[in-house]
Parts: sequence; structure tokens; C-alpha cells
Amino acid sequence: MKRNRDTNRLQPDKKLNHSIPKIRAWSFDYLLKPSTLGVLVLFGLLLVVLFLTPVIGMGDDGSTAAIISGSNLYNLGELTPKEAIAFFQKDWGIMEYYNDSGNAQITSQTPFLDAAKRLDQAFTWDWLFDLRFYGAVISVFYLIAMYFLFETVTYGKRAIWTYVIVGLGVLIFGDTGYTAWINSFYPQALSFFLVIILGTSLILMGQKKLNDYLLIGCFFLSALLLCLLNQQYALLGLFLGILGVNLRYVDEKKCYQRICAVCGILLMLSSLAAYFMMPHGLTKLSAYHSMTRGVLMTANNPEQALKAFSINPQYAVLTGTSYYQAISPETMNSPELATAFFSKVNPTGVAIYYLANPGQLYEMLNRSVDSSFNIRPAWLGNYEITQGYPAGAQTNFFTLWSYLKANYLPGNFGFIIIWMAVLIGVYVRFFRNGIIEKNERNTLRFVGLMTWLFIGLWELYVAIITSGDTDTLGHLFIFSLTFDLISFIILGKFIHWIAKQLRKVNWEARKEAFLNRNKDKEKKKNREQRGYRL
Amino acid sequence: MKQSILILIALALMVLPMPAIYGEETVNQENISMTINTKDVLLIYDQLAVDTVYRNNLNTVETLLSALSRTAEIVSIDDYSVGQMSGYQKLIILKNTENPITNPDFIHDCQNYSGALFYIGFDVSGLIPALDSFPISRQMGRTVSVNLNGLAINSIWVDDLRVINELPGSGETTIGVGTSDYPFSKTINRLTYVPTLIGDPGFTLGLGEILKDWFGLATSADMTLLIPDIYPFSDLNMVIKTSDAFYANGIPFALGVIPIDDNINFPAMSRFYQVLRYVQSRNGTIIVHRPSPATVSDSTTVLSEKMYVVITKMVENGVYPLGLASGESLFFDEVSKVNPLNLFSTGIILPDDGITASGRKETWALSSASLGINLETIANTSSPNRNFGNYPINTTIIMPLPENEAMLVAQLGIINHKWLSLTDYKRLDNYWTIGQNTIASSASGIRVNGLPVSLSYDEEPIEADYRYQKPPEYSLEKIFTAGNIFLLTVVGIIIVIFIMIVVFSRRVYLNKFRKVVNNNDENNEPVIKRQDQEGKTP
Repeated sequence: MKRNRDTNRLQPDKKLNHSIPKIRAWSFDYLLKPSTLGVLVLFGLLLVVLFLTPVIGMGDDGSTAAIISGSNLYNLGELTPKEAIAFFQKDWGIMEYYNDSGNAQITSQTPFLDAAKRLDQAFTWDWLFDLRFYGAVISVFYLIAMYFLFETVTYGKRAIWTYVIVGLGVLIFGDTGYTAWINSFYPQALSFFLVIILGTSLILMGQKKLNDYLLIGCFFLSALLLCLLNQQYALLGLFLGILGVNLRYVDEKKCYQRICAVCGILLMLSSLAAYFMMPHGLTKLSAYHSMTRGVLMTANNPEQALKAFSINPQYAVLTGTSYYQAISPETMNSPELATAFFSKVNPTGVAIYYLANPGQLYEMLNRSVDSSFNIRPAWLGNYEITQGYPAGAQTNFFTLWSYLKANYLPGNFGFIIIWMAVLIGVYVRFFRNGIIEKNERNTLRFVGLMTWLFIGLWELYVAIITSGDTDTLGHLFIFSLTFDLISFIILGKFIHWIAKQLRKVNWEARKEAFLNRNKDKEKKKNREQRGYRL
Repeated sequence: MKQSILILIALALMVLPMPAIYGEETVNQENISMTINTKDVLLIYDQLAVDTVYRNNLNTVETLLSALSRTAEIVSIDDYSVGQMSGYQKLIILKNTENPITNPDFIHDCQNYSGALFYIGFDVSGLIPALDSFPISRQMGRTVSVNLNGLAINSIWVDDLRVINELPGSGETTIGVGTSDYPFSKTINRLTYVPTLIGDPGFTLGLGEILKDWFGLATSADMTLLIPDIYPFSDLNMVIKTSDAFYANGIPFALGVIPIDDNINFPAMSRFYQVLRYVQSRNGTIIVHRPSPATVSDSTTVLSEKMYVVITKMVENGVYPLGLASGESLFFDEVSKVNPLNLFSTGIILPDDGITASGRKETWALSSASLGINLETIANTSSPNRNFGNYPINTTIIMPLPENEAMLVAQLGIINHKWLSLTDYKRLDNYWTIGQNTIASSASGIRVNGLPVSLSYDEEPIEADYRYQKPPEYSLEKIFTAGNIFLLTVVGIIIVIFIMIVVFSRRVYLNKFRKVVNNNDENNEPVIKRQDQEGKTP
């Protein structure tokens, strides 16, 4: 900077004249590209929402305690558990010495948390962890993911319609309902950008936009991180691994094919290992809800449903109750209830039950879709307690999309079916053409969208079988996200199509026609008058 | 002014129990001219002593006061404010630690206090001059027994035993160490001193007897039996078996039922009430538990509504809950917040685990209550006669529902072996009015709204085809159904007409072709002519 000024002073006019067009060209090439511009706007938004006071984040319901103690962090305990849910906590403690707390859990979140902790320690030495450093680490990846997403819909083109699409993307994915998750220890923060990268890397590969090796790396890395995030995601790795192995047909390079095969198999193996090794996050709470707020609530006869699980039919009195409602904590933790009830409830059993009773499954899908359209759980507060907002207050800043989604989108599974039909109807011809022409690369756009769809539906089903209609593990977040992603891509396609149609129209001719419409009329009138004369 | 205060005091004295009036003789005018408290006693403690053997002491004293149905104000020494104790005729000081007292107001008021004083725990020299003259012998690590009028609760380990080094009087509660006996407490004038208290059932019962005498309560005591924590989904077959076994052995018992207000009309609930009716017919009494505070949200209306609904439903189903079972913490809440639980006349104070929260508290009390004790306490108690006799205060044996028949036999064995003289809970003086229902029970039986009820069991059929999923209700449903029928008829008629048209129009259609075939040339010519004309127009 200083040197620049000096040079300016020495040769003021010449250099400036030289550099300005260069900067202009550079910024036009890179900064004003629709996707880059969108990312820059998002960066500004994140800065305001997540990093400047009032800091927005998510209240902590205690479900992440094991994960943060895996990174040697702990809750300072300044807030009561009730307040911790209703208010966002910025500061957390860093354990000073080696700790063997026993309940620590290592997931794919741990490296990100560790990185954030190092970053924090580089700046401050107070053994306090500012959650915003973690938010910053996640934000970087989030912005990369959003760049990918914008690239897929703009095709790297520069036109008014691309700016419109990117604007919509900022409105949807920059929504504070989504970005507030970034300032939290919930796995949602991570799965948010992982899912975006997963699908967009496939679609971008189909569009031949970026380097294949970069994209295949992104795909496998995000798939691996996603399936190591939580035991419930682990089985997704199996599906993604099979998909990864099949990606080798996309290109003829030997090296590329080898990478696909090896990484795909590794992904499958690690997902299987994760499934069996990771502690299954199914708590008593979710087991209870999977029965009372799921199976029993939708059953025509709860007693018969209980008999199917060989549980005492008298438990029907708990139909529709929540964990904290009917039974005292002492009884809930008693060995009697453990043997009579909890030992007989497991996700596999519930899954089989739902497959045998599709009517109940449909009912539950309806409820889950409805609640998934609320991206933010209503009970988690967004503000710090020092901001003076009432307990559980949620921000209204930049939440247009989440507001519309929660209030105006029809939240039932019938709507999702129609939506899926539209999606498949629009995109299946790419897949068909690709197969017929033996050009597998062209099928990737469809495959990318289907991957999202599959992940979303899988999570919806998992949410139902693990926690009824009270999703505590955040599966519905993924469903909601994939719904938005796919809708956004379709919307982008639609806007693109409209733009194309509009371009085909000969505006000059139309204009002429419009201006001449009165002349035509006069002619006609004349003709008619003549006719009358005749 | 002074006159009116004096009248007020005189009125209060007429209401106060006898021992309080005896105490009045030496009370100074200036001391009682403060405020007249509605609580029976002021309990002052120094510390919770969390990590020591004395951690349960405060809880023990509080529980005993509730079990003796005394109301109290509870405050720590640090929170004590000047003149607070002068409003009370009775004062209990609980000193859990040897730490010095730092509140000068407390020390000053203590030295000038002239009401009845009950001092528990470590002595602080100079605090109460009379206390320093007690001969105390301090012994480390002893196994002791507490003797209550012949009943001895044995093998209690005490780390730091302080006893009054005197021979006990006859009929006094004593602490036995080896072969020698020491009195549990000593009273000189208006001061009663209990040197050692630990949170153990033996010491609790010993202290209970001393406190009961100190309050001057009636001497008779009852012992009842409670099977707690029965949910609708508990092992109901076991409940039936247990009540049959108790009935056969002539043991009166009570069943503690957890109130659940969800799905109150389900067949499972009817089945539960049926079992409870059966239990009543087997000489069992139904007791309602306090809903766990963890399950009730902060709002007060939830608890009342829940309890009103549950109790009304129970009475409708012929189940008559006569008492309340609750932990000590219930009595710290305001009466208005726990309504209608305070409307029960009798209750069982269940042992509350953990240390009670600190801070200034006021308690309320039921008109009669009993202290919950475990079956092990009974087993650890030895009696000089074959007949067990009775503990000095009202007690209720808490016996969890046996898991299997072997356990049932074992538990029955303990009760039978000890020759316990259990009282039927029904025969106690129970009464309440909750909502529309008034229930009273005494030796003559249970009366509901003034009418005696029969407890004989008759099986009522349970609705087999209960509809769990209620069809949703729509507004203006009739209009829409009528509209639907109307539209269906209209559409039906239209369809019929349409079919008729289709059928008959076929002939018309075919006729059209016939015409075309017949007059082909004629039809075409004029059209061509017209077109020609148009084209030729200038």
C-alpha cells in the first residue's frame, strides 16, 4: 500500500491510468461474476448476523455435550439448562489439562472444532472459547459451497437472469433461519454445507465446469465427513459409496477411474465401520417419542400396536405424551421401565412396523414434512442473554424465506409427491439422453439432484423411526435443506428457460406490431366501411 | 394502641395450644410486641454441610416437622434478620458444623430469647449460656443403637458421637453405646438439647419422639403401609396378587397412585380403575401421589386442572383416594400453587433424596401426616416383646411393589414375622372436598358426598371397540353435506341427460353424413362462390 502511494507520487498519472482499467477488468472478470457477487453479499450478511453484535446463534439443548467434550471444550454453566435453550451462549470453556471424561465423542465435527480452538488460542489466551471462531471456520466452507451452488445454476454466464437467480439463492440460503445454525455446535452446521457440496460437485462435473479431480475430491471428502458426522448418517455412506464407484463411467481417464473405485470402496467400508463403532445417538428421549409421538399416536388401536412390539398394552395411556409430561424422571430411569418398555423399542422394529402399516407412515410423513418446513426449532433462542430479549426470542432479520416456507408452503407429503413428480419429469430426459448417447457425464445433473432427493427422503424416514414427530437429532433439517436445494435448481432452470424464450422473441417486430395496431384497425374499418358500401 | 395489641395477643393465646400458653408466663412484653406469626416454629440452621454426614439433617428436621403437621419458617443464620425469632414461641436451631457464627444479630437475639428453644448439633460456647453447662462426652467412631420405649434400632455407625454424660431417666429415648446408655436429649427449663443428629432413620425417629413431646402432641401413633408409585402400566397382575395376599393375611395397606391426566378415557385407563376398585374391595386404600414437579410446567393452573380432572375421574369410576403422598418439597410451595393437593386432610411424607435448597422458606402442613420409612428400618428394629408395638410418631412403611411372587412372599414374611400392628388408612380421619366431590372416611367407612359407599368389587365391561382416532370436526358440516348431495343429484341428472344426448345424437350424426353424401355438390358450390366474391372485392 505504502509503496503504491510512493509510486503514485513519482509517476502519478501514468500508473493510475494504467492500473485502473486493469482493476476494472479484474473486478469485472472475478468480482462482478454473478456467483462471486452472490458469495460476497452472503459474506456481508454473515458478518452482520454472526459476528457483529447482536450476535445471532442457536440455543444449546445439551445434545452436543459429548461432541464438544471430544474437543476438550466444556459448558461454563453460566446459564441454567432452561436458559441455555432459550438463549445463545457465545463463550465456552477450554479444558486446561488432559481430561478423560469418558463421554467424549469424536465425530467429523472434531477436526473443525479443533481448528476453531487453535484459531481462538492464536488470538486470545483466556481459556475461553468464542463460538464465533467455529462459526468463522464453518462460514468459509459454507461460502465455498454457495459458490459451487451458484455456479451450477448460472452456467458461468453473465446476464440479467443469472443475477436474478443468484439473488433468489441469497434470499433462500442466506436466510437467518439457516445461517444461525453456523453459530452452534449442532451437527446441522456441518451437514449444511456438506450436503450442498455433495450435490453441486456432481452437477458441476456434469456441466464440465471445473477440474474433474477437484470435484471428485470434493464429492468423496464431503461424503466421508457426512457419514462420520452421526451414526444415523453412517448408512448414507453406503449409498454414496456405490454411487462413487459408478462415477468411473463418467470419464475415460484411467487415473480418474481408479480414484473413483478406490475412494468409493473406502467410503463404503468406513461408513460400515462408523455404523457399528459410533455410539448410536438414540437416547431414551427419542426412543420414547418414536413410540408415543409416532407409532401410538397414529395407530388406530394403540394397544394392538404395542402388542406388535410385545409391550404391555397398558402403555397405551402414554399415547401422544411427551417425555417430560407424564412420567417422573425417577420412574423414567427405573429398571422396571427399562425392561418393560425401552428394551423393546428400537429403530429397526419401528421401521418394520411402519413398512407393515403404510397408512401410519403416510400420516407421519405428513406431520414431519409440516414440521420440517420450520427450519428453526421454535424453542431454541437466537440472542445472547445479555441482549435483553425475552427468553427464546428469535431474530426476524433476513428471514423472509423461512417465514414464507413455514407459513405458506403446503406442509404435507402429497405436496412433496407432486413436487418430486415435477422434478423427475423435468430432469429425467437428461438422464435418458445420457444413457442413450452413452454419454454418462450428461446423466450427472439428474444423478446429483436424485442424490439430494434420496438423502432428504432417507433423513425424513430416519427422523420418523427414531423420534416420531419430535425431531431432536435434526434430520428434518436435512430434508428441509434438500427440498430448498432442489427447488432452487428447478427454479434456476425455469428462470433460465423463461430468459431463453424471451430472447427468442423478436421484440422489434412486436413493438412495430404494437405501434401499428391502430393503423391495422383503421385499415380494417376502412375495409368494412367499403364492404358496407358494397 | 397498646391495648389493642394486648387484646390481639390475648386472642392469639386462646388459639395457641396449651404448652405455648405455659411458655407465655415468662415472655417479655417487648419481645412479643413484634408480629404474631402464623407458623408454629422458626427453624434456623447454620449450613447445609453438603459433604459431611450431616448433609441430610436439615431435610430430616423439615420432614419431621411436616410429618408432625407443624408449619415452620426456615432461615439460615446468614439470612437471619434482627428480631425475627421474637415473633415465635418456639425456636429450633440446627448447628451442622463447628464453624463460628458470624451474624451478630443472631447471637444477640439468641442470648435474649425467652421462648422454648430446641438446639440440635454442635454447641457454640457463649451463644446460649445454659448450653455450656451440659456435660458432653465426645466419642469417635461408635456403633450405637437408638432405643425408643423398648424398640431398638440397631447398628448405626456414628463417626463423631456426642452424648450427654448422664444416666437416662426411665422411659426416655436413649442412645446405647456398647453396654452404657445415654439420653438422646436433655431439657433444662426452656432449653432442649440434642447433641448428635445424623440423617439416619433411627436418629430421625428418636428426634421425632423428642419433637413430638416438645410440641406437646397426642401420644398415640399409627403405623400404616404404602405400596408407592403405581402407574396404569405397572404390573397390574402383581398388584392384584399382592392385594389378594395382603387380604388373606389380614394386612391393611394403601396403594399410591400416580395421577395421569392424558388419555383418561382409554380402555387401558378403565382397566386400571377396575384394578384399583378390586384393590379397594381387598381392604386397600387408594392414595394419590403428588405429580412429579418435573412433569408439571411452571404455570400453577396446570397442576390444579390436572389434579381436578384426575380426581373427578377417579371418583366417577368408584375409586376413592383418601390421602396424599408427597415428598417434603411440596410443603415449600405456596398453598395457592399446590391447590388442590392441600385440600387433603391426611398425607404420607415420603423421603426426599438430596439436600434441600437453601434460602428462606415457609412451609405449610396437612392436618395429619405420617413419616415414610423403609421396610429395612423395620427389619433393623428389635422389639423386647413378640408384638412389635409402635414407633413414637405416625409412620408409614414404604414397600415397593414386589417384582415377582418370591419377593412378595419375602416381604409378607417380614411383616408377619415382626407382628406389626398396622392401622387401616381408611380408619384415620380423612376428608376432602375437591370440585363437586366431598369424601370423608373414618372407622365407619367411606362417605362420598355424605352417602356411604360400598367397596365390593363388581366387574364392569370395558369398551372393546373404543375409537382412538377421533374424526376431525368440521364447521358447517351439515350445510356442506346437504350441498354435496344436491350437487351429486344435479351432476347425476346431467350425466343421464348427457348419455341420452350421446345416444340419440348418433343418429343425428349419421344423418349428417347422409346429407353430405346426397347434396355434396350443392353444399360446396355456394362456399366457393362466396370466397370468390371476397377475393374480388376492390
